[in-house]
Amino acid sequence: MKHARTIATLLVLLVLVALPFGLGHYGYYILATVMIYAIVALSLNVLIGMGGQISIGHAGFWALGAYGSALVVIKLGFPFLAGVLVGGLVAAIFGALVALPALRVQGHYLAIATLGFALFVQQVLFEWEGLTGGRQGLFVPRPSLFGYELQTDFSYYYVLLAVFLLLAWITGNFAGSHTGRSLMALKMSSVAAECCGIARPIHIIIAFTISAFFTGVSGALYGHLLGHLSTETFSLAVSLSFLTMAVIGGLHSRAGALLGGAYLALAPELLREFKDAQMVIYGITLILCVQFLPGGLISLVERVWTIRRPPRAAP
Amino acid sequence: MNGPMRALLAVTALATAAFLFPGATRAADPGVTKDKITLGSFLPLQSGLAAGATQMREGADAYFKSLNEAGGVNGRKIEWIVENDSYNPQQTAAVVKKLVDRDGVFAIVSTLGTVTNLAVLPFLAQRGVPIVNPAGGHLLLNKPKDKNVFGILPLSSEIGESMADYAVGKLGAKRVAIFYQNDQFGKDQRDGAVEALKKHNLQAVGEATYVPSDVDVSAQVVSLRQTDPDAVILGIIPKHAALFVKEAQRLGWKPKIIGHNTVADPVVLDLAGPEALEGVYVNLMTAVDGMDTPAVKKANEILAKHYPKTKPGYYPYLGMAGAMIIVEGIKRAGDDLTRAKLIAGLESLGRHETGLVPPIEWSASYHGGPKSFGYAQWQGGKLKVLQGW
Repeated sequence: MKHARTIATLLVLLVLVALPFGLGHYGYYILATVMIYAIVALSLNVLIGMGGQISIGHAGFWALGAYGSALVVIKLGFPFLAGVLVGGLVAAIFGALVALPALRVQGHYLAIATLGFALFVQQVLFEWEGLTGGRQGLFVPRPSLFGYELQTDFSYYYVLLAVFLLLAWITGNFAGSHTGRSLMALKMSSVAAECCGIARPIHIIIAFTISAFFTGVSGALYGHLLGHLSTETFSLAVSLSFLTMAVIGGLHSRAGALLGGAYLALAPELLREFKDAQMVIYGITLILCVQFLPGGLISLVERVWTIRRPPRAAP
Repeated sequence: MNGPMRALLAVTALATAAFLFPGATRAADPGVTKDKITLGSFLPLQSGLAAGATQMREGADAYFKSLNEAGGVNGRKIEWIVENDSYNPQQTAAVVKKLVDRDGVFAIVSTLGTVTNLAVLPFLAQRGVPIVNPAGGHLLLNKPKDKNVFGILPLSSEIGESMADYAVGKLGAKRVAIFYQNDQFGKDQRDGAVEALKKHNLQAVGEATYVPSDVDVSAQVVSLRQTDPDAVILGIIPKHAALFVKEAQRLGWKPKIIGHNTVADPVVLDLAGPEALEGVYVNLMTAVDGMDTPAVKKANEILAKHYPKTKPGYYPYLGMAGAMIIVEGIKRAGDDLTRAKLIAGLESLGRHETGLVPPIEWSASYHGGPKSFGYAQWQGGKLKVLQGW
């Protein structure tokens, strides 16, 4: 069965590489946003899927990454990729800080704490006019690699795809690592895990830091894609749509993160024709998903997979 | 996933639905054919700005419809594709790429939203797609540098300047106070007013601010009253204008009040009542309903015919003004229509009157908003125009 999985992965990769051909600028742009959102979905996979910690403040990390990268590229002349790394690191530092209250509060209270963080970030970026341009916003240069500016979203898509695959690979390795497994153990039963000698605080901090790093990287990439940043972009609505995307795609799967990203980028485009009826469609999709597909869209694929396969022998 | 968390996710998911996006009309055809010109627009038809965006669309659309009924421009009818961007720059970038690459629009006209407009300027400049009347408050929209951008609105600071000049020059005020919204919209007006006062060797005797979520401004009214101004400038939105004049009336305080164009909104009258509003001066950067000019009457007629439920006002006039101006540019560009010719046509307008906004004065070196404004006064629940533009 190991082969089947490898073949499936290769097929998905092939599709991802072949996808943009013939789509035109509008299509390239949409695909690029799919990748950017998918990276955020990956980050929520780590935080919620593995760590069991909820956040409705990821727009805050996204903003920190976007502004962090844009500012070092514009003001300090950093190259694009270094800027993206800085964006991720800035977000990661704040991720570690946000984890501190997470050690004390859970569930709804944690959600509210992270929400507060996102609003705080948005407000500070808005008021700090000298640095961020405040309401006037900030123009961000196109991404460039080794001195070549990526003029079209077609070439940028492949950069984004590479970053997504790299982060997906890291996520997979993390899930299999000692730290990752400890985190999942803590999620299942914090008491039992702690009795086995797993320290809760450090693992929660690690989960938040990694998640914030991924989201920061995504934000940095987003800024260079859009070309203009404004604090209004990083609202509560964005945090909520991230969470929705991660739930709909699937919180326990890297392919699910990709589906989630595709959902968030494509849904408004495909449903635009429906005008106000879109709201109803979104609502029904979400309710159906939470009710019948708690594992997200990816669990549909997995279900079909298992039907086709002979049942596994009991362990 | 434990119980509470799943419940929380469900609730969040539902809440998200309330924030997500609906859409607008759509068709697909190349920019200019023998008998048709396709134009585009993006508007936040679902967001906090939705009401204004809808009115703006209706104003422009009513004009295009009536134009098409009369045979179009140079024998071509106008098709206008409006996309909803939900006031999200990511979606604006998507819809503009769709409009330009898929639908192949010739130009873009009457869009709304500062951030959303700014987000697509680099792309539009790169493609050389003309955009007329991007409504927002930013130097690049109100005093554009790009060859393809044509703004109709003035900078907020210029409105502030004009209000201060009017208070001192026309109303003879010596002590001027300023009450403004604590964000860029209000601050720009405040800065402009302070600049203008400086030219008259004056400074503001008092300043107070509010934020849009405030439901009470009585403390600010009292503090401004203590500075004993003869005139108060309001850089403000309708709700707080109503709160201000009602509170002043309650205290029996009667300074001369000069307000931003938003104070001309019929909503202020509904909220404050005619007595509290009596005598308040209003800066005009679009026409008002009661203006007795042929252009305004014609605009009201067109709007009433195609969108009878829409009240004439700031947004419908603004949308329509953009439509009128681009049509004039297209007319001047002639039969062999290209984007370069449209830009040349718009630049050849010189001082051009639509009657719905102050005259624009475009040239090869200036694509920005007007420099002169009108003034009106609330009298007996009606706006009386004191000074045209």
